Amino acid sequence: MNKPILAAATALATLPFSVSADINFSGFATIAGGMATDSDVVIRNYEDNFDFKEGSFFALQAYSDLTEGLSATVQIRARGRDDWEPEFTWAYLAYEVKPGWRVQMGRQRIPMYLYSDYLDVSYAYHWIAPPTEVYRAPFDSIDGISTIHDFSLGNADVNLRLYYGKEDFESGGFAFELDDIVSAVASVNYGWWTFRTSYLYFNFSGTLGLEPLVEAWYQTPFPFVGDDLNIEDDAHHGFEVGIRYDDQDWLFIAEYIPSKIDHTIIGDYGSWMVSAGKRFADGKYMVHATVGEETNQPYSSLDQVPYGLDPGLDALIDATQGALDGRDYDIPFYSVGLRYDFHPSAAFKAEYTHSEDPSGQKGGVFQLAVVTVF
Amino acid sequence: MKFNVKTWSILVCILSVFAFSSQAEVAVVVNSGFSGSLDKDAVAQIYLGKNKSLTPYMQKGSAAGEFVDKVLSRNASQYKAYWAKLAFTGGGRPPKELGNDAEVISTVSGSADAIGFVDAAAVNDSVKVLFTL
Repeated sequence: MNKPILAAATALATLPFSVSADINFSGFATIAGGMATDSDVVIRNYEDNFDFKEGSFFALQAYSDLTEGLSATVQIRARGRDDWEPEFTWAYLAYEVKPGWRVQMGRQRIPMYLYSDYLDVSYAYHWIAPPTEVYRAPFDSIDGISTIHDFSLGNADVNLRLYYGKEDFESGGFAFELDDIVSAVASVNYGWWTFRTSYLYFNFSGTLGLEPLVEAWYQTPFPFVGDDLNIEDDAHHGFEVGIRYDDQDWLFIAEYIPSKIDHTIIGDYGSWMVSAGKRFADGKYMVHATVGEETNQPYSSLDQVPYGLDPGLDALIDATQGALDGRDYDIPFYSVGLRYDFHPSAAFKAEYTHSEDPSGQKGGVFQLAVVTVF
Repeated sequence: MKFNVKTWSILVCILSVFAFSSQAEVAVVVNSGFSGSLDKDAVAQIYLGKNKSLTPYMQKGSAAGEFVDKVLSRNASQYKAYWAKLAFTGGGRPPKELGNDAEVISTVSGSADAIGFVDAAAVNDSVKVLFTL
C-alpha cells in the first residue's frame, strides 16, 4: 500500500461515520486442486495434469443494515475457471415487511437445489463442491424479486419463497436467455431434519450450434424436426425434492431433481444422489460417501421421417441422430471423501470421484481443497 | 511402562484434574431487568437466529466451547458453518462476538434485550442468571 492511500485510509478510519451505515465485510474461499486418474477421460473438467484453477474461487460479501428493515447485500465471486474475472452473484436490497416476511429485490441466487443457497460456501458442507453431475445448471443467480416467509408450525420451522426474474448467461461458448423465471420453494426444518421441495419454470432461448441443421430441416417437408433442434421460447419445468438429516454426528442426504425442456433436443433430465457422512473426534474429522446418477433423454420426432427415400435426407437424418446420441446418456457416479477441520475458520478436504464422460468412458478424479470463511 | 496400582492412581488423579478443569460452570445471563424465564432450548433458538426476542452475544473466552456444545449441541466449527450458511444467503447475521467474560457482563448489564454467557465465577449483581450449565 503506498503512502497517500495509507494516509487516506487512516483518515477515513478515524472519521466518525455519521451519515453512512456500517458496512460489514465477510467472505469465503475454496482453493482446490485436482487431477483425472485416466489420461484420456475428462471428469468434472479435470484432465490428467494437476489443475488448481478449475475449482478455486474467492468471494467477498458486503452487507449493510440500513435500519428500519432495509438492508443491502453485495457478493462478488472470482473463479479460477473464469480467469479470476469477478462477477456479481448477489446484489440485492432486502426489506423486512414484518418479522418473518422479507422481500428481496435485485440479483440473487435461485435456490433450485438443497444446497443452492450456499453452493459456494464449502465450509458449510462436507464435499469440496456439490456433485456437478446432479447440480449441473449452468446458471445459479437471477435478476428479479423474491418474497420470503418464515414461520413456525409447532416445533417445525417453515420457509416459503417465491421468485420471479430473468437471466442471461453463456455456457460452452453459446448464449442463453431465460425469461419469466418463476420458482417456488418450500422447506421445513424439524429438529435435525430438513425437508425441501422446489419448482422452477422459465422460458428458454439459446443456440446450441445446431443452426445449420435447423435451417436444413426447414427446407424439407419435415420442418417439425428443425423445431425440436431450435431452442426458442421453450418451456422448462424443473422439480426438486430433497431430504437431509444432520445430527452433527451422522449426516444423510437424498435429492431427486427431474427437469425437462418440452419437445426439444435438450430433453428430460432425471438426476439423483444419496450421500452419507460420519464425524469423528468431536467433529474434527468427517468421512463421507455419495452415489448418484445424471440421466438425460433428448426428445426428437426424427422417427416420423422415412429413411431411404432420398440420399440428402438420409444424410440429414444421420447428422441429426449424431447430435441426439450425444445428449442421450446415463452417467452413474460415486465419490468418497474426507473433511478435516484443522483450523477454527478453515477445513481441509480430499475427495475421489469415479464417473463417466458422456461417451461412456469410465474414469476418476482426485481432488484436494482448503476451504475457509472469513 | 508397568501398570501397577500406583501408576493407575496417578493416571486417575491426572484425569480427574483434567475432568475438573473442563467442568468450570457456565452461566447464561440476561439484563437484571429481564423478568421472563428461558430454558436451554429457547436460548438455543436465540443463538441460532430462530428467535429474535433477545440479542445474543458470543464470546471468545473459555466458556464458549462448553456453551456451544451443551446449549447448541454443536462444536465450534459446526456453529461457524451454521452461521456461514445463513449469513451468505441473507438469512441473518451471526451473534456479535465479544472478547471475554467482563465484556459480556458489561454489555448485558447495559442493554435490556441482551443475552450472553460467562464463566459462573465471573457473575456479579449487575446481571441476572437464567441457568448454569
